[in-house]
Amino acid sequence: MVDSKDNASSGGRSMFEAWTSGMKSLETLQSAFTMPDALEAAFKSIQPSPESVLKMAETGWKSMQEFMGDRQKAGEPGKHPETLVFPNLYQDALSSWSDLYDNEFRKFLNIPQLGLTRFHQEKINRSLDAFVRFQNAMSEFLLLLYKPIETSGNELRQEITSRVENGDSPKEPREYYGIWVKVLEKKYMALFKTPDYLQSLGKTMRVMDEYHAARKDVIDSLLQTFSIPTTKDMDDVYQDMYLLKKRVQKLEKMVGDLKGKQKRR
Amino acid sequence: MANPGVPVDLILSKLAQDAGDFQARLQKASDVLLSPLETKIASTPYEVVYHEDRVKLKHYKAKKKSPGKGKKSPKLKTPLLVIYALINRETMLDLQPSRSVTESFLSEGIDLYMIDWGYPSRKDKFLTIDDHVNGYINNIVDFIREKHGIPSVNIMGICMGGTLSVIYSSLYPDKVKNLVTTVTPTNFDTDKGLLHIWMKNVDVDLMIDSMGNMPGDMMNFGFLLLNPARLMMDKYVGFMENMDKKEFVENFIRMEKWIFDSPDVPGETFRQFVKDGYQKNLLIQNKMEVGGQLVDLNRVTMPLLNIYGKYDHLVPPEACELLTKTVASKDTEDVCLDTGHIGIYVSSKTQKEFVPKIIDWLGQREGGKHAK
Repeated sequence: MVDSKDNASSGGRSMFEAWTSGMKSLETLQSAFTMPDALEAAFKSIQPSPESVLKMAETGWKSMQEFMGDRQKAGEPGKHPETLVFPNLYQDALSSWSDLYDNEFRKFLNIPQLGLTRFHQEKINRSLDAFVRFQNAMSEFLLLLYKPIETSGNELRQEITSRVENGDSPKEPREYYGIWVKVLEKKYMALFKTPDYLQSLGKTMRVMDEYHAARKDVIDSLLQTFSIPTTKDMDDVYQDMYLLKKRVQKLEKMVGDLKGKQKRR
Repeated sequence: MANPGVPVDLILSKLAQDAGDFQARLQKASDVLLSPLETKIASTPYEVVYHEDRVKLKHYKAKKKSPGKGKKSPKLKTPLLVIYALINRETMLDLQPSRSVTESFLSEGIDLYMIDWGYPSRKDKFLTIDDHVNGYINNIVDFIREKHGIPSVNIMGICMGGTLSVIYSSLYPDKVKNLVTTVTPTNFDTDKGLLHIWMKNVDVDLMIDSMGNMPGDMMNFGFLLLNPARLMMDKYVGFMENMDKKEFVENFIRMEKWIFDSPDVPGETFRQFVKDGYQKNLLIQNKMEVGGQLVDLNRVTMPLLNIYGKYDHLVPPEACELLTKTVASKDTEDVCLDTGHIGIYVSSKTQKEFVPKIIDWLGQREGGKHAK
């Protein structure tokens, strides 16, 4: 009969062994991720895939590789705050997707349309294209806005570490929040003046306007088929009204002046 | 010496205490939020005395001295016309009874008129700066002049409304007795305010061609982006911390009501304002044209009081202070207050300086002795 104590200890041992072996596998996998050869080998093995898909996968893999490398550096809190940042993974993936769309998929939406419905189809395609480009630009812009939130966490850690070292550690949660908001505000102010932000803002606004115009075209086409006045029709009417009103005001003024002159005579 | 480290125990116990306090606050807050709240804004009585398209002219009734004794006679005979911006609404001057610029003017016996630009719709998209200055503002000034039998009125412009007032004063100098500009951008060539940097990168033609008018919500989003940490987060954290205080909640909601009450800006007006202002900086160089006429600041000869905020993130001092040096008037004064863009009108501290300064300044010039 096996002693229950022995049983438990052998169970514990086997669990420990399994855990150690699991950790070792993870370590091997992690090291493999950080080796440039592994990256090359992996991509060589999937050469037959379309080049465009490879481009995206490669970006993700590279970021993962850097991230896993940084995990190994992570140690004492506050010493390596950069290890807590996922290095540009989303940003790279998004800009790769955006490039991919602009250079590959977009062409399909620009294929000349044929037949009776070609004008409508072209408008729909243009609107779809504008929508995807707006989504891409907006995602990149929002990601840029998220960056300060991500990096302010690290700076907060550094700030707290430095305060702790000086024996001046914050004692209340509100103080931590106060420090973080200040850091975040500073980060945003710095971001908002960078060329990257200005470029992204300009691009997002531009593609949003383009999407707005393309969508309006589709809606106007639909309205026309139902004999409902379109935005363009209404704008034409409004413009006529505007010009007529100005003309009437001008004439009224002339009549008033003439009347005044007559009275003076 | 031992490193004291992060006082985790202390923080955790404080967190537990905060959680308890928060629960109690939440309970009180639900009572406050479910009770009737006084959050009405712009409650000072007025009469609409002129109406043209969407634009109204409000005339505020001077306060009565005491019941049955009739109206208080105006301290200044010349009425004051307030020209607000086309962005947001003039209700900001009358947010709450105890902190109301409108009320302060009335209690000082000012005969007060204020333009309410209304809510532009798609049919207003063709309206230009010319239509606002040579049209609405000129018609309103003529109406007040005729009603009071006077040759000129006092004008106070606010933000973009100040820019329109400066343009008007240059085109019709004889109809403006004294000009007060508050947080008014006239020099757009500065990189101190984010708005000035961002606007240079905006394709305003594409924007207006596709949108028609400039949507108010979009502008508000832009304003929030000027400081997201404070305006989109910290502000509401502050609300959560004080939501059990009825007076705080009422004031907070009044401000929210005003901030997010944003009419669209007529497209053509916005286009010209961004291009001639933010992108080409024509006004301060005497190169801007409105309705085929050159806006020459050398024609601004009336007394000019220019008030702005030291910490204004929308219209920084650099955007305001060149005006007094550029106009031809010899009677000019710059006043830089220790506050921001909105603080000038709503902060209780600034209220004690802002209105009295304008009243005194206008009072000294009522007889025309300071005028050129």
